[in-house]
Amino acid sequence: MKTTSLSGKIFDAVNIVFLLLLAIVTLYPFWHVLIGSVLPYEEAIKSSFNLFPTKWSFEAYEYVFSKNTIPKALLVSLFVTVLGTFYQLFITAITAYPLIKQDLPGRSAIFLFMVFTMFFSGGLIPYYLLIKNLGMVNHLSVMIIPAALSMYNMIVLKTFFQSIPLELEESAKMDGAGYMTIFFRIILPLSIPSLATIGLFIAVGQWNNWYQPMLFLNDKDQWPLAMVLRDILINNNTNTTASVSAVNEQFMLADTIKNAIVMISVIPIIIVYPFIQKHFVKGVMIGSIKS
Amino acid sequence: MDASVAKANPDAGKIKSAARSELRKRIMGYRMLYVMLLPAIVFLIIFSYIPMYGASIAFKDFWITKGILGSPWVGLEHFEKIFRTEKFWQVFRNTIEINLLRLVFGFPAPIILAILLNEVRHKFFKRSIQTIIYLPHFISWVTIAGIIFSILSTEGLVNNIIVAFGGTPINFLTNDGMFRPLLIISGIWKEIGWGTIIYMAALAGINPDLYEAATVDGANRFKQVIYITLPSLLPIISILLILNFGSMMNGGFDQVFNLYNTMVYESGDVIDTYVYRIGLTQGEYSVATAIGLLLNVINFTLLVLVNYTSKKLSGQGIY
Repeated sequence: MKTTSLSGKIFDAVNIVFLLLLAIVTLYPFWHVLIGSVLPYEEAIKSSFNLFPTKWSFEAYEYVFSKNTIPKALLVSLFVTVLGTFYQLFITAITAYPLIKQDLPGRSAIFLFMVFTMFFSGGLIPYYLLIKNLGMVNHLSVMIIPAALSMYNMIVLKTFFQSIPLELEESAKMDGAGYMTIFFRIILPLSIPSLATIGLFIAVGQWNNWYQPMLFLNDKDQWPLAMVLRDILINNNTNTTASVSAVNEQFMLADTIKNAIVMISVIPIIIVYPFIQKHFVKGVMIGSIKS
Repeated sequence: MDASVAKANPDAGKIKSAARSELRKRIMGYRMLYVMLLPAIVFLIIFSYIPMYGASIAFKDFWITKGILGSPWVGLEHFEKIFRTEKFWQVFRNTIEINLLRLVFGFPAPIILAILLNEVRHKFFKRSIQTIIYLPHFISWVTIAGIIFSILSTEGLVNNIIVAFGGTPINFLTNDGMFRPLLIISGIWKEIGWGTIIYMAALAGINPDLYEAATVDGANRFKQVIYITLPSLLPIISILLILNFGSMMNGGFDQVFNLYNTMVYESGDVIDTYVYRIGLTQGEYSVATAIGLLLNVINFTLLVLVNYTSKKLSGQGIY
């Protein structure tokens, strides 16, 4: 595979430059918003192209946290993320475990029953009517309860469980342990790294969830951060259609505030990202090869 | 297997009943496992299968006060109405055209990137690039829309640069002709890195001896990519392609809904956003359900058809 030909060297150089450019293109938008959120007003009106700001201030963040909306939305997001993640992780794990037993009668029928929902659904309206009939509209539970199970996560976790040596389970069974005990005492403790990975995946999904609150939560007090962000962006975006030519202080302030809120929603993900990143490649690999 | 053995055997009855009691013993032994599966089954019945039954309102004149059962059947009336609606055909065309563009530009992008990454020998460099390009996958479309607005709005970064060079600002976000490129490019930007993972996994599984043998035979690196790397990616490519056809009617609600506005409906409104608007903002439940059902059926049929064809032609399929 190692060639030292001239064309090979040129290719390597071009390839590396291309990949570096791609990395910059990926990261720059985040950097742009970050800078936009810490730029003082006087700097922001001069130009919006500031690679490294000479002056910076946290006025946008101070403003955002001085109002009630964002801290409250952060609390809702945190609550929904923590509770939703544990709930969903538990249901996912307890579903994945029985399905690793190849000789479980009815296993493939049950699996088909589950996988079918990945490819066919009743559609948005029947789902909306169901949630309404269940009385979950305007109730925070709508962000947690209906999201009990993602088939994809379940299949990945099932693959993890399959890699646990059977002997451990056999010896536990000799000692008279039931499947419930085996699951809680052996399978779960041995799968903590994979549970953590899947859990972080679920947590990111919960944190990003704006769809359920948009459909079902009318009360702004119940909105998570993602929904508040959407509300602010969409209301603000209508300004672009009006084409504001005169840059006034209020507008610039609104821009830095928007950037600050975007950053507040991105930062937690960037913080947990290295932890997921360590595991997910392996997880996705296994899951994808299996399915 | 058991049944055929039982038929051939003169003591069929005995063996059958023995098999049955053995099965019963196994089910009893596993009863705790069924208990563990119960929450998921109940959950899926409620949140997936009941809505499938609820889709029957596509064939009814649905009144919220009467409920699903109480509303009268109207046959295919709603479908006839949909097919007569100009707007429906517009969003139908938009959805297909946007998805074809995604297929042509978005689908090969991660394959090419995976091959390029695979050619990098410097481990640390490769891993750093991978870490960076996976990141946007974890950011929601709401947040990405916020970033895009901040870059492309009339007072945004790009227009400031245009103005600095003496140009006139372009309203990217409300320009009908620019909306599809915006969808395709932002889609690639968000998912190209994540898309490589599955291909990188397949590439990691290639036997290095193959490359060595090719080098001995005098094949250069380009030829090695054509004759070794690409063919080994083919199975996974065809599987992903089949799955892709299974969502041909999905417009990508999250992306379109967070980026579009009334000015770009003509080129950017897709079936999902249309269903949302006529169903939930105009309250036409039955019509919206009928459209939703239609696109689900088309998706499912495409998936089955493409899978069948692919299995016939290359032996590759998802089931």
